[in-house]
Order: sequence, then structure tokens, then C-alpha cells
Amino acid sequence: MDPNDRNPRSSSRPAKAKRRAEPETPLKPLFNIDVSHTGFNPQYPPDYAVEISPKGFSLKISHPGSSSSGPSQALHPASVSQTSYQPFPPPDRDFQNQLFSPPNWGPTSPNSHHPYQMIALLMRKRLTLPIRGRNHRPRWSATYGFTPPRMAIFRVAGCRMYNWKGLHKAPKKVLRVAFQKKMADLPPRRPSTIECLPGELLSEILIRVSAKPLARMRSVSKPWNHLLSQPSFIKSHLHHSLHINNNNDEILLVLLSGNYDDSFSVTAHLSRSPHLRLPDFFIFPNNPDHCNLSVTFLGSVNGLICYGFRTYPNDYLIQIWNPSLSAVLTLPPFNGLDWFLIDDSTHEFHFRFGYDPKTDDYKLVKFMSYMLPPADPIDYSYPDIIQARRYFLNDRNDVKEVEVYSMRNGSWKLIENRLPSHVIRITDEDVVCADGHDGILHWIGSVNGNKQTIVTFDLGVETFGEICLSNSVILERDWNGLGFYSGRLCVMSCKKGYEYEVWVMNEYGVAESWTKLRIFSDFGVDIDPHGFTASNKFLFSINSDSIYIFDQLKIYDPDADEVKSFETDARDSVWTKVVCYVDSLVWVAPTKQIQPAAEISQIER
Amino acid sequence: MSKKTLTLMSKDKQLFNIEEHLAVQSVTIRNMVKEDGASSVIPLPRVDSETLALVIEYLNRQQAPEEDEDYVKKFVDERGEIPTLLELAQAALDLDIKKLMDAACMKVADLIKDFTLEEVREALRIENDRTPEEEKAIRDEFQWAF
Repeated sequence: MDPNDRNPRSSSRPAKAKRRAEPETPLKPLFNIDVSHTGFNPQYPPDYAVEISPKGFSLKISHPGSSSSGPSQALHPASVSQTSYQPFPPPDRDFQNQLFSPPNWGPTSPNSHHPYQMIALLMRKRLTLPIRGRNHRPRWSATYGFTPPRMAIFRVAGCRMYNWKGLHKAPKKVLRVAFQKKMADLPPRRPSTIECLPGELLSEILIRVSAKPLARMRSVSKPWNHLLSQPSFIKSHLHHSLHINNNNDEILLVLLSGNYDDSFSVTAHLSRSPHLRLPDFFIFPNNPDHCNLSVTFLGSVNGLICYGFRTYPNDYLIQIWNPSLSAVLTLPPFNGLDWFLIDDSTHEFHFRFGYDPKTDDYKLVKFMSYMLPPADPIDYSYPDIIQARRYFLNDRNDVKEVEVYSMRNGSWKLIENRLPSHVIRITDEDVVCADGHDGILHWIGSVNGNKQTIVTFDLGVETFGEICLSNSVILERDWNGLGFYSGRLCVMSCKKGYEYEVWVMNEYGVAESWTKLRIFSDFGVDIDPHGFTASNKFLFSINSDSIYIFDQLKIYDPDADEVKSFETDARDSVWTKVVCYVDSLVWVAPTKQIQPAAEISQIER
Repeated sequence: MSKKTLTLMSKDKQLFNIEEHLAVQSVTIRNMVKEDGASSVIPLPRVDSETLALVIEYLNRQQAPEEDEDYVKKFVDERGEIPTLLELAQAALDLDIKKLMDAACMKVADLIKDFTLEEVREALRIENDRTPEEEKAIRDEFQWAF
């Protein structure tokens, strides 16, 4: 090349002219194209432009000095030689064709031109874009953008033209085509209304939104309201909350209530950091008319929490509450409420709350029993409340009645069915409220001869049944407690001397399938096992010598193999209940007209 | 050993090459390969080329399995615009690439959960088809949610 033919700019730079005189090194085909980085910098106007038309694309070179902006010259040898601007040698032969139309371009509509089309083209064809800067070394830093007339622009950063930071680095083997989209300039790429997206995708997105915003989003539009109200959607949302989202963000509600006074505390904790309380998470529905006293969790399933509390002056209310929706249902009074309120330790009430998939209903089962004094001598060193737990429940004489509240019907119903006749005592001292997911409720029942069994209640057909315990956990046990591990029924079994085991029923209802879990066997101290959270973390407390002190609740994570302590208030309390919080849209409105006593009240948060 | 390459064709007839062992992360593609050996081009009539390029970028990732979660998260975080994410989620759903679909849907869900109704409508280009009275009735019913 003769330096005199060149751009006047270059003549003012003799250093460059010298370098230009060096023999040209053969240009190697470039590069993979790395599409990344968006960001348009108007300081650097484009040098090259690729114009896309339905027939193909052509590369043009722009005129940096001229006032006419944009690509002006078609890039082929003839036109390049006519320009006074020639910072780079003309591109390789591939680019000398003004129109580049590969065979696979396909019949595209003019509206579908797309930045990626060109990239795809370049990738497929492995086109080389030889660009040279000083020293004849290739300068690869380039960017291209799109302007409304559907034009792809390469901006080649090179040479003295622009103080591109990549200039002073070693030539890159890979041409980095930084890709920028000026969204404002582009017409909407495509009509992206979510309504034209399939409902499947919309569901996939919305099941990942938590219940409270979802309840609000029912107002977005009618199709949304329809989707969000559908039972199938509510179930998918629940399934997502229960099974997919719970490992890292599992929230536990811990209820502690006192023994002698009526104090109670409810706190919310993340199961991975139980020492912290979630502030303002838990807003217990507190009816202003009532004074909440001695709250007891009666059960929790699918995000609904059922609890009862004494009210002033003398009443007992049971409510079903969805904390995600802040919805509360107050149940009508049940039979035997008078006995319950007298609390003379002669009547014992067993409540359990569960979900029946067959009828898609939530039910609370209550049975009242008249207690006889225990056969063994009473040890008066125990507090009354523990004393009461040691009483017998004698089925043949004393189970007054079984009542079932159906949320769908909004009413209580007396059930004729009774406990299996050989069951003489029922215990429901479970700390973790985990029962009742699959339509069946479970209690540990004592049968004659100091044996134990599992009493079941089928919420669908409303009958009692029985599941046999493993032989090895029936005899010589101080205490057996029920729980759920990985959705399977399990029994925590304490021998004398605080040894304990966890047995899991691998196949529901099959007595041969009881298997001992080994991983929860040894903490080196005496513990009270309480059960498992939904993510299979193990809740327990360490035994203390004093019966009056309820030991601090602890949680063991088998995956991380670590034990953490809960930070809770009432360390002198006796009753502990733990509920796994589930974000849920579940709410069953009674199909009948709401009865006077059952009022649905919305609580302001 | 030479790696087998598959060619995917987007809605707008663009062709993309990808190595087969990477492409079969998509269950849909895996099934197609199983069925007919995928000798020819695999058409993806519902995925446009821009989105397909993103999907291919994702499939070509070179992450160790333990870093994968973080990578997917970062991958969708970098494409924080709802229209792009919707397309990506739809493509991942069609191609059955679970992790990408999860991450993209999660990202959209995270974005819209704090939106007001108007913002949701605007972001997803939905028309408000309710009269003010109807809207008020729903607001009254779900007052606690607002």
C-alpha cells in the first residue's frame, strides 16, 4: 500500500505509516462469537454496519468524519477505495459480497429480523471479519447494535480512532462481539402478554408467588381470578409450598404455654436459624372481644392451623386460621363444652385436625372421655396437669361421644363409631403437629397388658381403625410418640432410662415394614424426642432433672449434622407445640349458609 | 472421540448447533434423540432464535454440579427483563429443562410479587377487564391483602 493513497489522517501520523509498511501477516480466520454485555455508548459511533434484509445481510462501512451519520458506504473493494477513510484494510473476501444470503436463511418475514439471526449466521458460516489496527495486528474488540431500521451495526474498536480500552491489550484470539440492544429504539420484540402465554407457564410462575400477593393478584384480571380460584391451582400452589420450597426457608411456629399461669408465647423461627425470631411474622388473630388465654394448637395441615383458647369470663373458642391469608374461622360450640369448661380433671378432650383428600375437606375430630383414676398409685410430687395425663381413658364406659367438625359443612356432627374396644387409653401429647395429611388421623393407644397400638380415624368414612406397632416397640416402653418422617408415619419410642429409637413405617399400614432409623440414635445425652419437621429436621429437648423446667427446644439437621437451639421466651412452660408453617391459599368456605355461631372474620394485619 | 452435534431450528428457521451430550439436558430433546436418532435438524417451532440462543448458552455452561444452582440463578438474574424471562421460561418449559424453568419462573415470581396491580398489568401487558365496581367488590373481599 502506498501511504499517499491513504486517509489524510494517517499522513499526519508518520509512525503509523512506518508500521504500515511492515509486511502483512496472513489474517487468520477469527473467532467464536461471544454474545454478552449490553450497553450502548454513543461516544463511539459505528464503523461497520451490517444491514439485514430478507434476502441476507450486507456489511457497510460508515464514515466517521462525515456528518451523515449511520452506515453510508457499501463495503466492497470499489466503494472502499472511493472513501477517504480507510482505517483498516478491506475485509476478507467473505465480506466483499455486498449481499450475503446463505442458503439456510429461510423465508423470514421482514418483521422477524433479529440480532441473533445474524449471530447465528456468523456462527454457522464461521465468517471472518478481518480487522486490523496498528502493527497489522488484529483488533477484535467490537460491538454492534440495532437501530430501528433493523440494522445491525458493528462497531470496531480499533486504532487511533477511539480510545478503546482493549487497544492496549494483546490481540485477542476471540473476537468479542459485545451485543447491545437499545430497547427503547426497538419496537416491542414480540407481543409478550402473559395471556397469550399458555396457562401452564402462568401457573408455573404464579405457584411460586406467595399466598398474600396472590390473593391480591386475583384483581389483576378475570382470567387471573379464574385461575387463582381454581382448586387445581390452589393444590399446585400448596404442593409447591410443601415439597419444593421448604428446605431452606422452612418456618416453624413454636407455641409455649405456661403451666400455672395462663401465659403463652408464639414465635416464628427459620428452621435453619432457630435462634432468631422472625419479627412481625406471626400475628396471632386476636379478637378484641376476647382475652386470649391458654392457647393450644390442636393441629395443622396444608397451611391451616387449628387452635383453641379459653376466653374471659368462661368460654372456649376453637378457630381455624390461615396465616398466609390472615383468614380466621371461628367454630360453633361443641357438645360437652360445659364439661370442658369445668375442667375438673374428670373429662379429657382429644382434638385432632386433618385433611381429607376424598372430600377435599378439613375436619376437626373431638372425643371426650370420662377419666378414671389410674390404677397405679398417684405420685403427688407431679404437678396436677401431668397427673391428669396419667389418668385412664376407659373406652367401654367413658367415651361419651365422638364429634367431627367439617369445614365444608360448617357444623359439628356426632359420630356413632367408637374406638376399638380393647383400647383403654389414648395419648395425644405430640409436640409437632404433623398429623392428618392423608385423610387419616393417628393416636397412640394403650391396650390391656401394657401394650401400645396406633388408633386411626379415617376422615373420609369417619370410622376408627388400628395399625399395629412393631413388636420391638410394643413391650417395655416408657413412652411412644407419633410423628412423620418424610411423609411416613414414625414412632419415637423411649425405653426406660431415656434410651430411645425412631421407627418408620415404610409402607403405610403394613406392620412388617417398621424400620428403625439409625441416624437419630445418639446425642450423648438424655433427650425427649419430639418429632420431625417437614424437611426432616429432628426436634427434641434435653432432659433436665427438674420436672418443672421445660428444657430448651432444639433442632437437629441430619444433612449438616448439627444441633441448634431455639430462642424462646417461656422456659418454665409445660406445653410446647410446633407447627410447620406452610404458605397456602387453602380456604374452605362452608357450602351451607354460614351459621350464626360460625363467623368468618378478616383480621387486619 | 468425536462428539456428536445436533442442530436445532428455531421458530424463525435459524439453525443452532450444539453437542448432543449437552443438548440432552433437555428432556424433550433427549426423547427426540431416542426416538428417531435425531439425524436431521430438530425443529423447535415455539422457540424464537433469540431465546434459543440463550437456552444454548445455558446448555453450554461449564459449571461444576455444585455451582450449578448459583449459575442458573445468576444466569436468569442477568436477564432481568420480564419479557425475556417469560420467553426463556416458556422455552425451558417446552424443552423440559427443569432447573432453567424453575429459576426463570422463580425470578418472574420474585419480580411481580411486590408489584401493585397496575404494575403487574403493565409488566405482563394485561388489560384491566373489570369495572371499578367489580374491582371494589374484590378489594373489599380481600381487604387484608392490600
